[in-house]
Amino acid sequence: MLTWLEQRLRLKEFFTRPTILRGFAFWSYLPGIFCLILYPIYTITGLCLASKYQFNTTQPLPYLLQTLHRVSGNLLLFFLFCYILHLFFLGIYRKPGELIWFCSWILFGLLSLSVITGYIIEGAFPTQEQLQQMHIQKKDAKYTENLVAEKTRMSLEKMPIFGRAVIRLLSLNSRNPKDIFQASYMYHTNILPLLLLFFFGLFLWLLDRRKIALRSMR
Amino acid sequence: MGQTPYAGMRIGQYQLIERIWKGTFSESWRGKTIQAKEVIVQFIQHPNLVALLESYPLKPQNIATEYTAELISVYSQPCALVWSCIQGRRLDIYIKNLGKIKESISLYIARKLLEILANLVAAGKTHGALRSTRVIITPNKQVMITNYGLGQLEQILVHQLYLEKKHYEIKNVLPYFAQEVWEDEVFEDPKSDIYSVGIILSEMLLGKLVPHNELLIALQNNGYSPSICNIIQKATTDFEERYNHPQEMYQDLNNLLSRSDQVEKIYVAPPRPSINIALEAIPADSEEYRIYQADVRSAQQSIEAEVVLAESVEILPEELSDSRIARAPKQTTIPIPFMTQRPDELKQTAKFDANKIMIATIDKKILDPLDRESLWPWSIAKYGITILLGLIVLLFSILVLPASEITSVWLLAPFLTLSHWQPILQALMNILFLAGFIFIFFLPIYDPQGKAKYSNVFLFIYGLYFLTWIALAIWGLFI
Repeated sequence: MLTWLEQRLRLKEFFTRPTILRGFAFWSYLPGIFCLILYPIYTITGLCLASKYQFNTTQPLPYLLQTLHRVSGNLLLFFLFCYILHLFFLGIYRKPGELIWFCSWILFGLLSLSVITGYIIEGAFPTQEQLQQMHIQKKDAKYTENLVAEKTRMSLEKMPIFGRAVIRLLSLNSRNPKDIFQASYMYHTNILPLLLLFFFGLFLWLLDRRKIALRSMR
Repeated sequence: MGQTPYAGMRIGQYQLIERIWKGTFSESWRGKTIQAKEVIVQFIQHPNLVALLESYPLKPQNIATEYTAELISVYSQPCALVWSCIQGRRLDIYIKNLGKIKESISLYIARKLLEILANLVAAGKTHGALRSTRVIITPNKQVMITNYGLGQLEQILVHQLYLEKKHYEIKNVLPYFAQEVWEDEVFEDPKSDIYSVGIILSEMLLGKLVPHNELLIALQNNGYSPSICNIIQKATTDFEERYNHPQEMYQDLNNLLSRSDQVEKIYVAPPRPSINIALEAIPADSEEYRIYQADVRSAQQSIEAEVVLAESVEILPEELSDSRIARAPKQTTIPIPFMTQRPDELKQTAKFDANKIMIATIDKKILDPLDRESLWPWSIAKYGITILLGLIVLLFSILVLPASEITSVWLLAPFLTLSHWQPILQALMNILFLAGFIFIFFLPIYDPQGKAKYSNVFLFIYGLYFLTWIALAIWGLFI
């Protein structure tokens, strides 16, 4: 079995061939590795939440999944930014790596949007404490108030160009909180994951093509 | 080109004395000022380089560092550059006279060159056209470079001549230029200078310039260790695989040296026509690195002791005129009293700055590999521990950050802060945000050669840009 795998995967060569840069450059791979770990966590927890456990913060497992989803999304955003810095300092963005650079920023934008919509969805289900502050009972609270959406709208109004577009996209100007929730939910669980998956795949493919392009340039 | 230079000719306030060097693109003359101060007048002869100098004029005040010859004046008719005179001898003269240069000395010179390059990179600059004729060893063992500033134009020139298929014009200098310079139009990249250092190092070790594709075989045939071969290979390999920064190669050379038991010091004697000792060295344990005592006999002993070669060099008048310093300076920087008895009983004693004495070692062990390491076992262990720590932080974050407390999106917090500012400030910050984002997004278009990372101004501005947004985000979270 191991021989069969070895013949196909060449694991021994993969692990023993000197490929990792020594010295300080060794750590420059870390943001990429974290992105590769966090992206599946973000996706899988998102799938679980969307399919089975919906916004139930009283049970331990949904609570864990929801928090894991949120924190992994934020960390993914952070490490993606670190990875963009890695691309910058290694000069990968220059010819023929321009598309990698553009793709990484598009990924960053999509992921930011995903995180923002995630927050808005969470905000549609205020906690008991928040409801008490607003003198609203929890049973009547669904879609009634969304503090996060309100703050997001306020922030986006001040963001040049992109802000207004995102407000329209997520229906944040709507008087009906249900519209806001539905728009955010649709983007967060359907459109953005597909786009993220596409651009993530494209990004990996471009990295691979760049090596071939470099070889052919020589 | 204009007037052909001749001895006695005046150019500006300088008078030419004698020609000292005929290069590929120019010829250099020794000159002097009215106050009898020595200078080097470099006449640019290649019409393309003259045209480039007209397009990209060199400004004297910008072309000077403590490691390079200073550009004093620029003349257009005839096209000439006046440089300060560095007292010392060109590296190619040493190679020509000594043949192979001892490994320790070669490594010392290479390291000094890398130090210079690292300093240039720190200032966002490169040399561009480094070669052994551009390296000067001064009497007090300093390594300096010449033609700084002009080298960047030479890169363009070499590329032009390569495209025009005038290979015969650049055949002597082409081996020192990396492929990306003459073929891919990559100019002013520190990696190209690193390539040149690699070639110079191999030239010193082999005693001659060997074509790039035969370099490794030649080094191996000459019995050099795999470690030094690895370093040269890494310095002269393809652009993407090469050292990114001079400091990396410097560090590898240091690692190489630190694995040796043998310690040596180098003393580069001032070039004097009367003394035929060019490169000498003494054992490290003698007189605590401070007193140098050498005569012909001890130089001979040092050869026998396999310390450092101190070959006698007959300095011919032609060679003297070939060097940047043709004659011995009347006053050397190091006062060395000479006993004027018989030549073979000469003794000289001098005090040196301990910091300037090179302490080098020769590698006896194999470093494999020098630049990369395998995943198994240490890389996996290091990454594994780091990832584990990362996941612990992730879980800890989950515990300390309950989902119910989130009321604002940190990503948009800077804009939430701005919403409380005056409209004029909001507009200003928005313009800054947009301009910064658009510029960084389209960076490959503005900076196709990937040089932005070497610009301190760029890094400072973007560092400030991101710090501002982080500060605004933190502020916004408390609103």
